[in-house]
Amino acid sequence: MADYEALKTAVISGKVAQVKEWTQKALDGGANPQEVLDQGLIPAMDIVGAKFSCHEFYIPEMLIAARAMQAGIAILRPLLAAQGGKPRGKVVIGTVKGDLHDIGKNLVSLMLQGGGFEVLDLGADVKPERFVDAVKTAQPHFVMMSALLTTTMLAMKDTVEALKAAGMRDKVKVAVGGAPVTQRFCDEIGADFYAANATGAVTKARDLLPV
Amino acid sequence: MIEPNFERFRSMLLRAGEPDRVPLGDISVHPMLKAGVLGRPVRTPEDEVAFWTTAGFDYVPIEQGLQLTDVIKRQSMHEVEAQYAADTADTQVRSWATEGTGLISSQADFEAFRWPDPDTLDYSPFERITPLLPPGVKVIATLGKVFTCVSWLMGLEGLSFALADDPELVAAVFERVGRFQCRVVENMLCFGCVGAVWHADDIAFKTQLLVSPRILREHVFPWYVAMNRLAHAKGVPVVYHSDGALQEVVEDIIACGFDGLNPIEPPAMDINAVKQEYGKRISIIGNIDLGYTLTRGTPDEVRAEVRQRIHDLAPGGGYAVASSNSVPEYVPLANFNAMREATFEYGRYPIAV
Repeated sequence: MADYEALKTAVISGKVAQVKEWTQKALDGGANPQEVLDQGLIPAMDIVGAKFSCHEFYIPEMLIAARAMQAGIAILRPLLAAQGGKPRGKVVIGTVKGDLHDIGKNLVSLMLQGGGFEVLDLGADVKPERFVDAVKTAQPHFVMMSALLTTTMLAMKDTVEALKAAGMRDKVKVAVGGAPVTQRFCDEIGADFYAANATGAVTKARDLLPV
Repeated sequence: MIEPNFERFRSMLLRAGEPDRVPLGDISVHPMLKAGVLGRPVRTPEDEVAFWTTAGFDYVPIEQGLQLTDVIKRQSMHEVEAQYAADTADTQVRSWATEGTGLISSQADFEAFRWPDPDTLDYSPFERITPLLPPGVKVIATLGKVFTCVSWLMGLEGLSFALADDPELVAAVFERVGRFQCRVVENMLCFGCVGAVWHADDIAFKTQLLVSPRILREHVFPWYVAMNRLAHAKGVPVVYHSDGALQEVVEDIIACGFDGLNPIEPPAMDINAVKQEYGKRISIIGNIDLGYTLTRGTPDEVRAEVRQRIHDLAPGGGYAVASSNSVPEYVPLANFNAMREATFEYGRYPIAV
């Protein structure tokens, strides 16, 4: 019998060994891997996101929980793949050209994975053409861009323009975030949405997924 | 030209009524902007003094500390060359801190780490600059970076995991860094030219603190209490700078003994709310928006924002005009000049805007 409350508690408190144990116990008890993901790991990361939003959790607690969540996903992934399971959505993410600040982008990436998304992380200092290439090959639902500086965030506009020039703009939703980024800037450059933090990015991505 | 006078800045910091003018309050201006104001590159201590005093500041900042040593600058940073500046199509190089795993991720790393000696850092700029300072101009000694140096040495992600996996290691690194910076402050305060100490240590981002208040209270703020006691014992006021949303710890920052808070970054902090709630206990410096106005706005928009801040915040003293972070190369010179000139134009006491 799966104990999803125990699994969630283990994820939220960042206990890697316990997450592995409760994930394995659930599977051994006959639970479907998708059910373990949907009823254990994903709701746990939802709670982590909520705690982050209300300042009960900070970056360390979030990273520690995400590490524990990934230990559970590592067990489930091959089983899900064997079942032909599909992620909730697919995201291409990166820190824009000229910018090496990636902790914010990494947090968004981790929370997206915790939310059931498949994430292709292009890393930092990503040129617009690399985003375009990734959209062509990976066919994601979303392109998400991060920047630390007012000067580097302008590369977000270049990426939106490059997507348009490649005829790919209407294939994806474009999201932007980072210290200097605002809703006003998002609107100016023709991106689809802005989020102030990782939790907001996951919530908005879920809302915008095709039904 | 505005006659520089450190008493103006000191009076603002100590909230000792209204000085003659609202002071300027930035301590970090990119060399390209300095050259733009001065009309020549800033290469020597004489050039530095000429820039800060010509530009209307009441002080000359000098930085020292662990953050400038090779262990940080060469081993914890990565450089990228790109077109960052506002006024040229040329490329520039910027240093970016390690955010993943840093140099110290285990007790063995910590024990093997070759810590520099704070007593052998180069303090000669303080000596060299002293005879160059015009009458009434002082040095702001810049340091801080207790949390920042630890997060650079361990990587912010490495620090985060270590808080769960090896809290003793975290405590040891903070203790070592804090003790180092404390000693640097002690050494800086030996120079009579030092009129204020400015601790820059980013502990927050756009929506909240990077780590919990508990971690800051345990590992960071006690070092600032100690460093501020050293400064206050010599009658030297102290400023704290951190980006981001600090609301959860403004009371702690005041309790550390800081006299001024910078840069009150919008939209993370509402400067009018900060002034109303804390303005009687700490001076506020900054808030001219680097996210839009200074970088992508027009000089007229900069002037309007400075005018508004002076109208809202300067009456009674305790406010200095400054950017909401620093003045990097991606601020157009015209906007930097607009910020300074609007401060001179609207900042004469009694405030009449």
